[in-house]
Amino acid sequence: MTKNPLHRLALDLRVGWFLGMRQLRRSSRVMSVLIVFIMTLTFLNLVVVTGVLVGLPTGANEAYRLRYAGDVLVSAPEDKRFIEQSRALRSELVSLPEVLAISPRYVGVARAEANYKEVLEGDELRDQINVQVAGINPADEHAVTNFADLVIEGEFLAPDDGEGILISSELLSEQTAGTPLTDTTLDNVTIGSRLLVTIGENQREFTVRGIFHTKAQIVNQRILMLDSRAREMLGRFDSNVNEIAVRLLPGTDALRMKRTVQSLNSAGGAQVETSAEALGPFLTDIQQTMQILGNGIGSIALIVAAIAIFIVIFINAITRRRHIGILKGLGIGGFAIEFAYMVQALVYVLVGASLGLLVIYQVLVPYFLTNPIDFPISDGILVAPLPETLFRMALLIVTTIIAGYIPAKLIVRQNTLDAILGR
Amino acid sequence: MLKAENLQKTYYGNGVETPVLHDINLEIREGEFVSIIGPSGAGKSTLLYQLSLLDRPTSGRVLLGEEEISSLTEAQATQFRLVNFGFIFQDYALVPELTALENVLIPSLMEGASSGEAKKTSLDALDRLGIGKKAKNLPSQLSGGEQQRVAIARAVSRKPRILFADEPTANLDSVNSKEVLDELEELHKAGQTIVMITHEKNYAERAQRIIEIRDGRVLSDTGRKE
Repeated sequence: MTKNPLHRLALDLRVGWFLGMRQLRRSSRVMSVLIVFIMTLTFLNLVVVTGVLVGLPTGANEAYRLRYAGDVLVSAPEDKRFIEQSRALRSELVSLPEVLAISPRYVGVARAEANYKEVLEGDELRDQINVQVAGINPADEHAVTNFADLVIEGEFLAPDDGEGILISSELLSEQTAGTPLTDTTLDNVTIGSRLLVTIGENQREFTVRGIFHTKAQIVNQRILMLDSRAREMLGRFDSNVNEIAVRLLPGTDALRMKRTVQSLNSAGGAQVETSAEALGPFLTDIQQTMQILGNGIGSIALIVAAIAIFIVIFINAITRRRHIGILKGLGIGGFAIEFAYMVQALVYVLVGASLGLLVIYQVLVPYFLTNPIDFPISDGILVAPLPETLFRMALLIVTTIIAGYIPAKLIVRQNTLDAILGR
Repeated sequence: MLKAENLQKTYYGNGVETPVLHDINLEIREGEFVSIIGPSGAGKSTLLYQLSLLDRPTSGRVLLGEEEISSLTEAQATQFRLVNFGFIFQDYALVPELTALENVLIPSLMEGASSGEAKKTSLDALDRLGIGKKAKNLPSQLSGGEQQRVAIARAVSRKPRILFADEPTANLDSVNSKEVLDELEELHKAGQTIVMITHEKNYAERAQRIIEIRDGRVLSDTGRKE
């Protein structure tokens, strides 16, 4: 009479599948749609909440990489003011096949003054701020950071515009709407305004050609001018720059390229970092915190989903208690009946989570890419890497199956005759 | 074939002890058609549940051949019922989400028959009972008589060693009752061992042997009719 346990298990699974699928097929459509809807929402909650929370610091990271550092940032070592052998290094960098573009920058501290032509009265203060000045080659900078796209008013620097500058909107009172990131901002500066820029002993008047805005905060504290003009004002006659942002061909491993750059003869003592390394641990820490927070919220969603499925399967099984007894009476194994309920839970969660996957990758991710959430420090995107999403899907599936199994087990283990007689 | 030895059943509930069966001894031989009759509360259904392993006696033994089956575990008893017993309940006890055909073939699937084989056997059984054309109907789309015929098809399609029928005509009109009893007689003629519970004496007389139960004891055991 006793068969091989594996054979017995196979029969239980077969009959369980048979019963489960038929119960699903003939169950209330409205109820099924409702349960699938709950599963879809739970899955979205699991993935999207964490994805958006992580997306905020990720957006800031991306802004830093795309608008400032490039994939690899070469900068002066801490004990030096600039990168030695910059010219040779630039040549070596552009000769690397993985390098798409580079943007060498001269960087220095300057004072920018707006009302320098006005005569001040009494205790009236000069409208001036301390800023970073970056001297760029407009074409190179645009090739690395698409900087021309960041200009929100006016125009990008022309290659021969030695009199023009670009200024961050964060440095202008009218642009910051009362929430400046810097302590002081300049008043009444618009396109065409004249600014007096002082670097050390050198002073020069410039015309504001464009106002830019980016979520890379380091760039928002800068004034940009032509590299030739910055070199002159900084008194840098050896062509040694302070930083070189390197954009790599898509798909290139930044960490590997960092090592390649470090091994170049002219890299010398230059500091070579990937964008993430250059940014430091601050945003990574926030990312991890957001991940933990998202996981916590997701866990609550998971528990709610488990309770929902438990209740649905429990009600389903308790209303079929007599039929379960009859099936057992006819000789259908307890596990086969339990498996039938697990099949139902599995189908609900598979359909629900699959719909969730579609919504995430066909609707939400593309939507957030084109319409990022506008936070002050970043363009918040939805971070949903497929392996992590599939892991969360697997987590939901396992939880749901267990939540379906427990109530079925509670009902099935009741006395067969009591179930048949409804007592 | 099927033997009850000193069978006793007592129910316990709310501190009250209710003895239902007292020292029942009987033997059902292979190929017999046995009716168990008695008034309501006599203990006839309780006796059927003990004999068919749907319940456990408080004391005593049930044997099939030489094997004591009343001591099987719940899981073993379930499998034993699948392989050896067929059941007809008074309210048909069909699974409402399954069609007539699916209701009949599910025990065959559990026994390990291939889908094709189970389907063929089940359709044959339904055809033999005259409801093959309604194989795809759900129980709710069948009359009481048709549902009971599906239940009979389910019980006999795998040719069980013993067919237990618990008041199979209780919910049927006289025409359908007669048809069901005719069917049971046909099965008996084909060699099927049948144990049927009924409280209708004229229905019981269709059987070969009548065991009358009263107050949990065998009052009479009338032998063969033919």
